[in-house]
Amino acid sequence: MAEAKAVSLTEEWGGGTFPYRVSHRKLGMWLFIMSDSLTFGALLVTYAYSRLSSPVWPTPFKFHPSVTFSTVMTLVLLSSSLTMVFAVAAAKKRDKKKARLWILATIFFGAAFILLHSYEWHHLIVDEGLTPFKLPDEWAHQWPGASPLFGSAFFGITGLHMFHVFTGLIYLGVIAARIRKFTADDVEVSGLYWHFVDLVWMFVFPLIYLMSVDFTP
Amino acid sequence: MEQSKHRDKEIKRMNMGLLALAGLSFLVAVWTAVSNQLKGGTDDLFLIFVCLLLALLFAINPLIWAKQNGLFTAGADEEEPAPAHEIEEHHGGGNRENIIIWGGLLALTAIEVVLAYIHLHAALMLTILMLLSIVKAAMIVAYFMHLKFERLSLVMTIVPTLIVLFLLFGIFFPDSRRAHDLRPAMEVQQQSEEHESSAGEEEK
Repeated sequence: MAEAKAVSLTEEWGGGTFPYRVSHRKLGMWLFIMSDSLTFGALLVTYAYSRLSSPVWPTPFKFHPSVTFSTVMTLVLLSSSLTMVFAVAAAKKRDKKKARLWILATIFFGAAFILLHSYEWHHLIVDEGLTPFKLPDEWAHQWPGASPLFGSAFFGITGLHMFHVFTGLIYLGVIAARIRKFTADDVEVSGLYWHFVDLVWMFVFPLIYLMSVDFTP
Repeated sequence: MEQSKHRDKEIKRMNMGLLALAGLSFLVAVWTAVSNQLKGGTDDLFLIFVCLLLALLFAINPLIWAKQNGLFTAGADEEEPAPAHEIEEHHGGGNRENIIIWGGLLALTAIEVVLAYIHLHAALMLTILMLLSIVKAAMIVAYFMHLKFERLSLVMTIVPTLIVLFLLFGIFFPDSRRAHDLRPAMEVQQQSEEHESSAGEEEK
């Protein structure tokens, strides 16, 4: 019995078969997701490191607009993931028209996310005066000795995430526009990328926003 | 026949070696805990953690081998209810299931936001938030990204690798506390005074 097992293992991993039972595109996307999650992991760890090693760290996010906006953004991104799941399911049933509609819905939610996020950035940059390398005077007064790294952590992490959302929109746009040429597998692979973007936000949102809520009235 | 016997012997020897390494790592972990009694704080915790992780990594192969050869059938059925479940719904959840998952994710997000407005200690808050986030991430990966319905070989390639790599990031954290203490005394004193005066709210 042990022998039979050993032989089948060699056969399976010896080439000519698909040991993972997924297409090479999907496997490639999974590997990309692994490396990309390490990129985000490194950024979040750097943020946590600088926060821990700074004596004072500003916690400036008021309930409105920052937390309300980011909560709505979370909701929008989660919903876009759900529509993407429907798109993949429709593509698997070879209903390409329906799949395209669901992908368009996903693009709509993704675009809404970017719009809301840019509004929030606009608020922070223009109204509050936060820049990547300097805290606004008001904050520096409220949190004396606070680390100026706040801005670079915030803009670096959310900026890279927003860039991923933007890339995802282009990716999904290409898939939707030329859906006749793509197989169900291609739709699924694009879905993997989109869900990954959603997944990263599940860590960015609590760590960046919820851990920096301003309790002062 | 001769060859397969030879191979069996080789596999057995390799597994014994791995088991010995696992035992050794475990012993180091125990020794750290007993000899130092966690006086080193985070450093000790980290060392113990890494040792246990190494022990697990070394032990995985022999355990799988033992299970394949039916060495512990008693333990087998408590570990393996998953495959039957997997075959049952091999093509992944239906739309209804996905909507339930989506609802669950929204509920967890709502809990997180509410938590942010209850004054909790920063460390406790961070722990709860990270736990909830990991649950959410697992839900997304398992259902939306369909990993639960993939072959075990793919799951075993992706998940343990990422877990180990993320744990390795933890090597920086003891150092971050130390960087805090190593600042020039004046600056630290000055800033800690200021910090205390600002009610000492959230430092973490």
